Amino acid sequence: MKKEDSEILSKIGKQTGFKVPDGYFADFAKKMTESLPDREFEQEVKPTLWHHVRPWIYMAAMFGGIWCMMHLFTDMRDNNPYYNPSIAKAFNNESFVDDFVLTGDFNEYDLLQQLCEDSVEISDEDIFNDSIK
Amino acid sequence: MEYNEKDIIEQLKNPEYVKDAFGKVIAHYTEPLYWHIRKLVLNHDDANDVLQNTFLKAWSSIEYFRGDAKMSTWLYRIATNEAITFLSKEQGRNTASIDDMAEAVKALAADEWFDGNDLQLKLQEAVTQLPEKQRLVFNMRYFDEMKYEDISEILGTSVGALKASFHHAVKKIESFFE
Repeated sequence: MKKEDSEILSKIGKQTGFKVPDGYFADFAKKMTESLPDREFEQEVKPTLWHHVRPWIYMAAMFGGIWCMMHLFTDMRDNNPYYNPSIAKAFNNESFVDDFVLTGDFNEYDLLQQLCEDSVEISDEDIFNDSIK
Repeated sequence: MEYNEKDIIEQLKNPEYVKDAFGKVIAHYTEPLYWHIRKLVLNHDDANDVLQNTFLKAWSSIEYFRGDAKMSTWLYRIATNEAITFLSKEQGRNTASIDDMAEAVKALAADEWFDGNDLQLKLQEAVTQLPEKQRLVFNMRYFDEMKYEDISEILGTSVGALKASFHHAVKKIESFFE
C-alpha cells in the first residue's frame, strides 16, 4: 500500500475530517432494527428421500410404460385371427406363388398336393379353416 | 456483542430468528457502511438516509441472500448502488453534471459534522473531481484499506482494472494539488 501512495497523500494521511453525532452508530442500529417492517417468510422445506428419488421413479415409470406398449402391439400382431403360419410359409415359396397365385389355374386338390410336396405340414384343422377356404 | 457470520447466516434462513439475526447484521455493519456512504455523498444527513435505504433494501431481499457471497460484499454492493442512485437523483435535481460535486464540497466546509483541515478538505475536493469508478476505488482502497480482491467482488471489476483505476486516481489527485 505504501508504494502506491504519493507524497501528498502521505502528508494528508487517512483521516477524512468527517464526524458524526455522539452515540450515532448505536442509536442508528437500535432505531433501524425497531423500524424494520414485518415480513412473512416461508419456512424452508427440507428435501425428503422422496424428493431425491422422485425423478428416477418417474423416469422408470415412463420407460416401463413404453415397454408395455411395445409388448401390447407385438401381441396384437401375433394374435391376428387372419394370420395362418402354414399359408405364410407357403407364400414364402417362390414356385408355389408362381404356380398357384400368379397363374390362378389351380384347384384345392392341386394346392394341397403342392403343399405336401413342399413339406408344408397341413393339419385337418387348417384344411377346414375358413382362411384356407 | 460477538458477531459470528456463519451462525447469523443460518439464523437468517429461519423465519423465527430472521429479524433478530438481521438486527445483529445492522449493529455490525452500520459503522463501516456509514463511512463508505459518507465518503461518497459527503453530507451526514444524506449518508444517514442512504444507510437507512441500504438496510431496508437488504431486509426486503434477505431471502435471496443464501450465503454464497460474503455478507459484507452483498451489503457494500447495495450501499454503493444506493449512494450512486442518490447522487444521480440529487445531481439531476440540481442540473449539474454527474461528477461535478463542487457545490457539495463547498457546503462541506460549513458542515457541522466536518472538522477536517484545509488539506483534508482539498483532498475531498480532489476526490470529487474523479470519475465515479475511480472515486469508489480510491475511497475503498486508500481510506478503507480494503483488499483489491474484496473491492473486485463488490464492484464486479477485475483486480487489474482496479489497480489501474487507483493509479490513475492518485495521479489525478497529485496533479490537483500541484
